Amino acid sequence: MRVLLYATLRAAAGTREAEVAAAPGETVGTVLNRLVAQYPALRDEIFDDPEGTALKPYVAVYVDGRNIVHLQGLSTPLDGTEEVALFPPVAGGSGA
Amino acid sequence: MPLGGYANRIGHVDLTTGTVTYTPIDEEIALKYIGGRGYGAKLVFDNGPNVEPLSPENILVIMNGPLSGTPINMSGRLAVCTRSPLTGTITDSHMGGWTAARLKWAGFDGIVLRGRAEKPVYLYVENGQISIHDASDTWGKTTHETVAYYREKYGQDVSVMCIGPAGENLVRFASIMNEHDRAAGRGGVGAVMGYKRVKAIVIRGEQKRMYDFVPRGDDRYESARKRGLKAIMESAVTAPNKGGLSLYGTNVLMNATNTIGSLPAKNFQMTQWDQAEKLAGETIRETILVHEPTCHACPVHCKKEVEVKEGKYKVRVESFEYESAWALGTLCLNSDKESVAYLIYLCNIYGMDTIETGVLLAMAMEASERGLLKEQVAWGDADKQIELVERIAYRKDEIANLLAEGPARAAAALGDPQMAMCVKGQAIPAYDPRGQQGMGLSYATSNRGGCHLRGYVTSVELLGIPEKADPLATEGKAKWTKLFQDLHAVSDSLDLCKFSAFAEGIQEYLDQFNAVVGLNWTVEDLLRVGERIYNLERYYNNLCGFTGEHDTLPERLLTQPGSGPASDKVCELEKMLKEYYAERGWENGVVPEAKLKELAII
Repeated sequence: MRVLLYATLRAAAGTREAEVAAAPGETVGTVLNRLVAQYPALRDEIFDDPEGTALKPYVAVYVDGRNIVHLQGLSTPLDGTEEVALFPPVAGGSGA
Repeated sequence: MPLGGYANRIGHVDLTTGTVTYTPIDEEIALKYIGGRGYGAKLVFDNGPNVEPLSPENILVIMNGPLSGTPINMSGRLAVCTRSPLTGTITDSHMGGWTAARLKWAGFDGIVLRGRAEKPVYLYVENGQISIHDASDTWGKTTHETVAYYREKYGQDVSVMCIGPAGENLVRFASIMNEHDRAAGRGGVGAVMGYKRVKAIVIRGEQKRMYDFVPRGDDRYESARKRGLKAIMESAVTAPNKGGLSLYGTNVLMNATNTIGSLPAKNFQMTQWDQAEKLAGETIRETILVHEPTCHACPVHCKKEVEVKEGKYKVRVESFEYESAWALGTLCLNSDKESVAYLIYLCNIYGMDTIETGVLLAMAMEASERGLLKEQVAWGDADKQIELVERIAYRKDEIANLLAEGPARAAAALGDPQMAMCVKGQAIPAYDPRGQQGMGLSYATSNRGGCHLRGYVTSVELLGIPEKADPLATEGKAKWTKLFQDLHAVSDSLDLCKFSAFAEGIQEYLDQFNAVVGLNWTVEDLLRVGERIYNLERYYNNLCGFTGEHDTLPERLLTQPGSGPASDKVCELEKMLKEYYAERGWENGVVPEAKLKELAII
């Protein structure tokens, strides 16, 4: 499946997107652990623990545009056709 | 003992008579409304609601807060308050750079402009004095030319707040610019300055005075300042050269809002766009970024200066901001970053709000497509955008003259007011309420019309600060909207950059405020001031005839679903609005007398 990377995560991985194997029924957590195995520099950017069971605060993972905190977190099941997007903490909006 | 942080001096400039008088800060007002936006709103309120925005009777208040220009971090903000010629509401618009700091260092908390000069003038501000001078040499010049002219005359270390041709020609969404590309963009404050025939305010203030307004060496002060700085330096958002805001600027949001389906495109006909990446902060950093300037006392450096080195869009401009790139790019389906940079430059030199201009051009494109505007303005036609911006700034012809009135008035004249994506006549910014329900409520209830900065609910809906809230849900959004509105009223009055809120909390604000001003307020005291300011502004609007009827959104957002994750969503405003009024204690958008008394407004 396609995993899109943004902002500092893009810089850390050296790519805008990654192709990660995902079987139907596997979870977001499984796919993200597979992603960091492919791009080790992402591990510390995404996960709060070496085991890859908790996301860093404010890292956002979206499945087809829905933040997984509003789904089932890292246990959110995938069917392999979705698009997963990863963002580090981002904020802005011009201040006039 | 006088309050700390204040210069304790306001200059009152009567442009009709050409006289300047000075008063100390009114301590009662300062303790109830602090400074910046709050103090300015109080002066506009006291000037009365029966004032035509473009008349000698309207006042233009330029105000610092007690923290502006001090060593407190991210304290480089300045408020401009008036009754808006765009909306008819009370308004305030804020600018960064060094103008706020230099105004404080020049010995002023604020300047109040009244009346109207017979001929174009500029003001020179230095060492507690304001003088009025002939501006015939600069009237007609662009903002960049004006800044260069006065810096040549007075030295490179002055700040120059000025208007461009759009302000002179009373374009209803004209901005006031400073440091070339920093804008008090919203609400047509530049048109008010243009009506008063004030081309520029030149300010000299010595930086060493920064320390005159704080209790240097005092433990409480030093500790509060350092804790604020630590929060900014360590935040994953603001940390210099690490955080997303510092590295990519405000435009780091383009891909994020696009992902969740809250990026308005094609005049809000879509909420996702497959070309957004071409304008996003990540792309800009990889391609045309050349410099990363900052403001007074700010380590974040969120400004992203870009350069197009050759071709017909050759330009160097500082402010490739999210809202500007979105409005002039995404909303008009123009994905060419070089032409968007050029359009931002044109808006800046003519002195026009980029958000209002982009929303206006998108409206014109829709009107043209539907045959309501008798001129070909195709989606994504960058050269046509450029041509129109130039025509509008100078009100060159009939169509340009109509568009110079702003999207709401122009759309109504063209036959369909719903084409104008505005609230209370001011353009809605870059977060679509179908993909971010809370922002819909925030826009609808904004006291200055469509605005993302009255209550930045995006903080919970997208960033998760201080906690994550589902952007597609309506639950809890009334409470968040009120809290952010009150909190921003506080930061706008201190006057601190709102981006500090991505790192600092209300406790850090409070500690720094108490230490500088010399008070012992609580968090509740500070938020009560925020609530008072928001209610004062609302009360002023009520006196101008605004009620709950005006707390609404364009029909499109309430009836037509968005795209992507928001493809089955409209903004469920009514549900949230009812809860919001209950939170506020308002009756159909009107502040009742009991609330005014409870907050000591009357």
